[in-house]
Amino acid sequence: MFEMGVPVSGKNLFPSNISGLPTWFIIRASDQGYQAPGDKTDIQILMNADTWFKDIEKIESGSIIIYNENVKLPVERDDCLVFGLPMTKLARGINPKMAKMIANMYYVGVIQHLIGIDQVALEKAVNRQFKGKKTAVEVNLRAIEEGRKMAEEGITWESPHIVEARQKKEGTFLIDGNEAAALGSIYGGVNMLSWYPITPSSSLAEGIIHWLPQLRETEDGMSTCAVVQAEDELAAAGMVLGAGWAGGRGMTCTSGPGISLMSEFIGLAYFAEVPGVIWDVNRVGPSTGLPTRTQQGDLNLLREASHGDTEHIVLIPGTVEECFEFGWKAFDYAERFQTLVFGFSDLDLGMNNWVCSGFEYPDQPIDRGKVVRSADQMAAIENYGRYRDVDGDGIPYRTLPGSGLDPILYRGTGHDEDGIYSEDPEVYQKLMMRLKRKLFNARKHLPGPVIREETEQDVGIIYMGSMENSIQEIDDIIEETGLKVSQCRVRAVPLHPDIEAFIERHNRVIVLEINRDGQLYGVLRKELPINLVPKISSVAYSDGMPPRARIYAELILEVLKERAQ
Amino acid sequence: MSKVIKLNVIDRPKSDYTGGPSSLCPGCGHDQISGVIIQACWENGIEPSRIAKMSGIGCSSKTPAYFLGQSHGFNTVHGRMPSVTTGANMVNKDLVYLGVSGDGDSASIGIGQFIHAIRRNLNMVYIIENNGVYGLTKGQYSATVEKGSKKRKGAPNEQPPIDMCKLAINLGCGFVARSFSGAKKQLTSLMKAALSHNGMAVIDVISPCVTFANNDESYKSYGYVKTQTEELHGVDYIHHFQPMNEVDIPEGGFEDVELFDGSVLRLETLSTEYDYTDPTAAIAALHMAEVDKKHITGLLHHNTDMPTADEDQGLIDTPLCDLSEDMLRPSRERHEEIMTRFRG
Repeated sequence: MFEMGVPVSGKNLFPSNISGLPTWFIIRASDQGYQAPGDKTDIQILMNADTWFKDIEKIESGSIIIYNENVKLPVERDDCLVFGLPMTKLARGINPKMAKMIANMYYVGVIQHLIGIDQVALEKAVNRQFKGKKTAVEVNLRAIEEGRKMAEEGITWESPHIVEARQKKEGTFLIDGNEAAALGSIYGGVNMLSWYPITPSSSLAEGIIHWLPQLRETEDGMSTCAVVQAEDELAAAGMVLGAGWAGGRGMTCTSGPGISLMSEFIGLAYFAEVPGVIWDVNRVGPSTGLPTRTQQGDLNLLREASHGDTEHIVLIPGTVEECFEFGWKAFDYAERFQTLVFGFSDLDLGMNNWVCSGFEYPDQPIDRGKVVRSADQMAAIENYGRYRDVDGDGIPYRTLPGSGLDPILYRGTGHDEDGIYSEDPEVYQKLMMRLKRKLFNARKHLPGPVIREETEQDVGIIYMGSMENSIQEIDDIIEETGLKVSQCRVRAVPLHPDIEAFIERHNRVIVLEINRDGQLYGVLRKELPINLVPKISSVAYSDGMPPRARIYAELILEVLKERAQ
Repeated sequence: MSKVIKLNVIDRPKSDYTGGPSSLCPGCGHDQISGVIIQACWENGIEPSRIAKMSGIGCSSKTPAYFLGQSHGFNTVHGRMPSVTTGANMVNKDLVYLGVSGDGDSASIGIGQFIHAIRRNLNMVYIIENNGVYGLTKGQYSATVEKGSKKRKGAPNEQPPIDMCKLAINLGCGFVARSFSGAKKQLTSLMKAALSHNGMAVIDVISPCVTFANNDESYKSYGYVKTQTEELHGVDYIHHFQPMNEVDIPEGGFEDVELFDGSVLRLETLSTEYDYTDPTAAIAALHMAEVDKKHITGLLHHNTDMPTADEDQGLIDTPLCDLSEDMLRPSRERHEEIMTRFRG
C-alpha cells in the first residue's frame, strides 16, 4: 500500500520470545494520514491457533475474516465476511521446507484481490522485502498469485473496503527510529559505541555497526569508530565516560533497565562534567516489565538519574527525522555543556517503520565545546581552572589527557575550581549552584517545542515523543465536540522557555503522555512558575500498546469536563 | 656548589613524576608502590603527559593523587576503572594507561570488569594493591584474604581467597606478576617490564595495611610476608636504550624475557627452574604456595601472541579523539547518495 501512495503504518506486536509465542502485525491505512492503530479491525487474518478464539471474539460484525484452514479450528461468525484457504498445504506444494513461511503469502494474495492492491506495487514491495533475492522473490510471488486466483474464484461476496492509489509523496521511504538514530550518531562523529544487548535498543547499536563500514572508514578500510560489546550496562556506561574523558565522542544505547544500572556512572558524568551520549529506547517498566511493548515511562529516570542533586539533558524525538537530527546533535550538546545527554525514544518509534521524507544534512559544523588544545589558547584564559566559570555561563574549559596542558585527576568526590579534592562547604555549595546554572542556561539552546496553534487558544495539549503519531487523530476527535485544540510537542528537557509561553497563552492545558504517573506533567510542575501550575492537567495512560487515539481523546474530554465543574 | 639534578633519557628530573602529599596512614604499603610507580615511569623515560592514571574507589584508588602530578587521571567509581579505561583507550590508543586498584575494588565489586578487561587484552598496566582488607571502611575482610588469616581485630577469615594472579592466568592474560610493596628492586623491575608490555599487564602487589591487618597472624602483614615469601627468580630490567656492555651478567643461570619495546626482563635462576611461559606451571606453583601458606613473587606468566583490544578494532592510526570533522562526518555528497539509495 505504501508503494501505491496510500498513507499507511505498520506495527509489529511481539512478545519477549523468539519463536514459540504468537505475534501480531497491525496495518493501518488512513487517508488522513493517521498512524496510530485504529479503534476497530476491518480485516482480520487468522493464522495462529493460540490466539484464534480470542481474536475472533474481538472482531466487530461486518468485518472480513481470512483464515488458514489448516489450523483446523472453526470460524463461527455468520455476521462477518469469511474466507478460508488451506494455506499451509498449498505452500507445501511450492516448497515443503519453507511451507510455514510461504503460507503467509496466500493471504497477501487474497487481500490483494479483496482491496485491490496494484500488482506493480506488490512486486516492488516483495522485491524490497526479500532484498531482490531471485528465488525467494519468485517463490513468494507465486504463492501470492495462487492465493489471489483462488480468492477470485472462491469469494462470492463484495469487499466493503478497497484502497485507491494516491500520489506517492515524492522521495519518501520507510525507516525505523533506531536506524535513523544510528545514522544520526554516525553523522555526529561517534568515536566509540559501547553496548549491551537489550530490547528494544539493540537494533540502534546494530544499525551503527551496519553503517560504519560504509560511512566511517578510510579508503584502506581503517575505522574511525570503535565498537565494544560490553559485559553489562555498567561497563557500557563506563566506556562512554572513558571516551568522553579522553576527548572522544562515546555513546551507548539501552532501555530502562540499562539506565537503572548505569545510574552511578551518570552521576559521575554530571559531577565530574564528562560528555557522553546515552540513548534510551523506552520499553514498558517497572522492572523487566513488558519488554516488547512501548511506553514513555523513563522520563523521570533520565531527568534525574543517580543519587544526590542531579539533572540531565534529555532530547525527545517524535519522528524518524528527529531521531536522525538528535542523533548528531546529542554529541554537540554533550561536548558544549560537558555533561551526559540522553536521546529518549521508545519501542514504537524505534522499532516500527515510519514514512520518512529524508534526512536533512547537518546544518551546523561539529561543536567540540570548550576544549583548550594548545598552550597559546591556555595562555589566553585568565585564571584557568578545570572547574572555574571564567566566562560566566556556568561552562568551564577543559584540557585533554595527552595534551600536557594543566592535567588534573578527575574525580567523583568534592572538588574545587582547580579540580583538587575538597569538602569545604562553600566550595561544594558554589559548585552545585554552578552546575544548576549551566543546565538552566542550556535549555534555550536545546530543540524548542513544535507548536501548532489555533487562533482561539482554548485547549492546549502538551505531549512528547512518539505521541506525535497519534496527536492529529486525537486532536480531530476532540475538535468534533466543537473545542479548538492547539498542540505543543516538547522536544527536550530542561524545558524550553517557549513552552511556558504556550501555557500562558492557553486557557486550559492538558499534558498528555504514555505512562501511568504523568512524568512530563511532573517535570512541568517542577519547572513552571507556580502561578501557571493550576492551568495544567495530566492525562497519562499506558497499557503497553502504541497510543490509540480514541482512548486518549476520551480521557482528555473527561478531564476537561471535570475541570469545567 | 649547586647540586647536579639527575635527568632521565628524555631529560626530565624525577620531580616531574611526583605528585601531591599522601594522606594514607604512615607506613602504608600503597605509598611504597606510589614511589615505585614514580621511579619506574621516570627510569623508563615516559613523557608524563602520555600517561593516564586510572583508578576506582578505595585507599589504593586515592593514590593517583600522590604520583605523576603532570599526568591526567580519572578516579572513577568503585570497581569500574577497567571500563572507563577501555573507553579512553578506544579513543586514544597512544596513551600509557596505568590503572591502580585494590583487592576490594577488583576482587569483589569490580571482578566482572577485571575479567572482561583481561579477556579483551586491554592495553594497560593493572596494579592491584592487595592488603586483604577494606581499609577505607575500617578493615573488613576482602575477597583476597587467605583462609586462616586474621586481621588485627575480630575472628580469622574462614573463606578461601580469590587469587587474582591465578584468575588472570586462567583468562589468558599475557603478563602476570606478583610482588611485595617492600621489595623495591623486584617491584620496580616488574613495573618497568609491565610498562614495556603491549597488552594487559597485571601486577598483584601485596601491600600491608598498617592500621587494620599488620599483625603477624595476617598473611599480608610485613612480618608474615618477610618470612613466608619465596621469590621465583631474581629480576632485573634492562632498558632498550641501555648499552648491553653496561649490564652486569649474573653469575648463575638466567633467562631474558624480550619485551614489546625492545627492553628485557632478566630472570635470574634462584633455587629451582621456573617456566614463566607455561600457564599450567604458574597455576600449579600458585596452588602449592596456597597449600603451604606462602607467597610466591616474580613474573608468573608472560606471552605476547594476542592482539590488544584496540588492535582488534582495526582503527585508523591517528587517535580517534584527534580526528577532524572531515573524518567524523560523512560528506554532503555521500549523504545524497545514501538518501537516493533509501528512496530506491
